[in-house]
Amino acid sequence: MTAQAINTNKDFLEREAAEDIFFGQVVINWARWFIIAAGVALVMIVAETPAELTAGLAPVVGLMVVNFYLHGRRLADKPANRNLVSVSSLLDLALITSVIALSREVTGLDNQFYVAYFPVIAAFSFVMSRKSSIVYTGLAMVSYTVVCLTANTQILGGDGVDLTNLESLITRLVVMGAVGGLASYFWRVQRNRRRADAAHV
Amino acid sequence: MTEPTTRRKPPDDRGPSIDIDLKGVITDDIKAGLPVVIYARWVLVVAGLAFTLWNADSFVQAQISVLIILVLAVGNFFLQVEVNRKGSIPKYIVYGASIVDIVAISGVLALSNVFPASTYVFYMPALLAISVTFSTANTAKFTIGAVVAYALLAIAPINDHGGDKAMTTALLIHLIILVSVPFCGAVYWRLERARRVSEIETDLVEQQLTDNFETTSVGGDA
Repeated sequence: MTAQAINTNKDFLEREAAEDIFFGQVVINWARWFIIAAGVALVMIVAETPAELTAGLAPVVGLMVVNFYLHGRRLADKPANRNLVSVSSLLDLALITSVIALSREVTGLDNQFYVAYFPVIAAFSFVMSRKSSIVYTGLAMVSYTVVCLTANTQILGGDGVDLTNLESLITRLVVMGAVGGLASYFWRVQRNRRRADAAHV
Repeated sequence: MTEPTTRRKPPDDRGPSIDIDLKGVITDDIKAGLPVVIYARWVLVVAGLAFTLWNADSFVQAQISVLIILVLAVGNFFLQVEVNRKGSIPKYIVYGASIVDIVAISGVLALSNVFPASTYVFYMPALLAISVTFSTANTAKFTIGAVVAYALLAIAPINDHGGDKAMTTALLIHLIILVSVPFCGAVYWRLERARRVSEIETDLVEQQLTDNFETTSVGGDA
């Protein structure tokens, strides 16, 4: 294979990856809108004083501003680049993990906001390369495990390991991994179909 | 002797090129998404069986759960074999199997009769797989079915706790996320479909231009 052929192949792969992000980032934007909706619902119902409402809504409004900017750019055909999409997706993970770790009512395993991991993992894995998806899904799983093990003594208490709670944690982690894996698999299927189409015509 | 090259059908003269082989694309879409459905079901079978046997609340519940999971496993095995053999699978089997997935998850949830149940998360891979396999309208039907089933199953245990505010909030968040995963899958499915149609159209235009050029060149030489 000549150096020119290698460069052409590299250019093709780079363009393909850039197109994936160009077209697909709207899926991440939509996933974030659902996280915002869930966050608003959580804050509105749980908050009992105006101060709590303000404190709770501040990060949600921050995320809304970020998403208005990113979704607006996409609609104006000036989508964000790979770095910006990655940083904003990491911000999603950080926010979800913070809510689970620092919530006033319940923290750790009992906090039901963990479900918000699923759409962001799925959306990220639909858009990004397999390596990035593995890193992102792994990061979400590790963050959640650390929070569940350290936020309280539900799993690791003075009496040893609580098997029922450990089972719940492992079930959630397995499904988080499965969602990331399935979305990434479908991303690969679609990429291969496009390549097959290009070769077919 | 060179192999004959297969070319995609040219666009129909009667209308815009978006109409090209759309039925074929739809069938292809289901074929492309079917392995995702099958893998999602294997996740459900393996994880469901492991967790049922590890920490069952009651013996009868464990027996029924294992029975449901084994039926799913047998069905999925035959589907997997057909896909590997590249056999033609009737549409009703694909749709029916996905309905069985939702019913099976809801059935296990009903057996546990607790809220929040750890089984809830198994809706996620099932709905994700459905959303990248079927059309948006069909995905919506499956999602509505799952949402209604889950909401109805959650009402009784929440009522047992006197309509606890934290539980009601949790249910609302669960329902929002239950919609979000297939929604994102459907958005991605539509994007990719539009992207493929657009690329095929572009290639066809290039092909037609090349053909015209070749015809004109040959004519010119003669």
